[in-house]
Amino acid sequence: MKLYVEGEKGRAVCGRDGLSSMTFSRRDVPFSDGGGQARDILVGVCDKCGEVIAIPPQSTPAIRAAREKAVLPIEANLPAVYLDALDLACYRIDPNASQDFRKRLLLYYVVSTSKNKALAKKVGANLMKLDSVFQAGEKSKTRRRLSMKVTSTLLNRVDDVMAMTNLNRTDLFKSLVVQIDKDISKPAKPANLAKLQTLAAIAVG
Amino acid sequence: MKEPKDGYKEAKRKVLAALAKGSYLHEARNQVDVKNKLATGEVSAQEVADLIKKSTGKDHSKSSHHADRSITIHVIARQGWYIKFYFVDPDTWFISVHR
Repeated sequence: MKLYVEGEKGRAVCGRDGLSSMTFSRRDVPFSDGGGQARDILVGVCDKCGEVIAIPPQSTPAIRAAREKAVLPIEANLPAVYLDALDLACYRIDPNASQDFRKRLLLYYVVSTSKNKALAKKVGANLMKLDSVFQAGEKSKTRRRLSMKVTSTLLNRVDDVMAMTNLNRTDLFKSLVVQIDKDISKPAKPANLAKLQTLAAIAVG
Repeated sequence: MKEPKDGYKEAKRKVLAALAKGSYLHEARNQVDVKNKLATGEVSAQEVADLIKKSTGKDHSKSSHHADRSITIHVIARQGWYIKFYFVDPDTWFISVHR
């Protein structure tokens, strides 16, 4: 593989100047989705306009590391019953669970659903047949905000599950809470309780 | 009939050689384009090569680079992936690799 070094020259197509000469140099380069930046990576800079026009493969590990660290906000304003149901499930799993565990539980369901088409089908249909408690909650005007910060990789998973279930983000979170309620709060003996208790123990620690 | 120099078979041969040798670069415009998942490390050169190997002429289309009309941009769309690239010898340039 070719290793580029600072000061090396090359040819590239600059979006502004067309076919141009470039010089490799170190720069901080932001991500196009606004989720942070890769710092001090080797890039090709247009000799005419000074813009970053090339990224060599050797900068990919640093970009990947920066991308993993970058956190993006997810916010949803849900009828209060959904946050209450999520808190109840957390309480069932571990009465000492921190409030942070609520986010981890929800994201655990995002990741599980992204890997399981049958579960995605169930999650996609949950809001069409809400039980009386959630129906009453939908009519209430009280809403609570769910706010968390996730890595871009996790945000991509959320987008994947939205596509798999044909739900927008708010409806996806509502539907995942309904699934959590069905799996954890409703049954006398929840199936995955031991696994989720381990997850809670890590979240508390 | 002889295939033109910027045809699918020649583009496939050159891009696979570039991925194998690591002689490629990513086009940028003052940003790391998150749609270029090869640049961000979300997919490997091997995975991109495997997708391109499976492609056929039917998965291929081409256009001209907006900044230099003489440069042919190749697009291979396979299994939901879009791989967009061009050649400025001796290098292969990726614009985007995304789903």
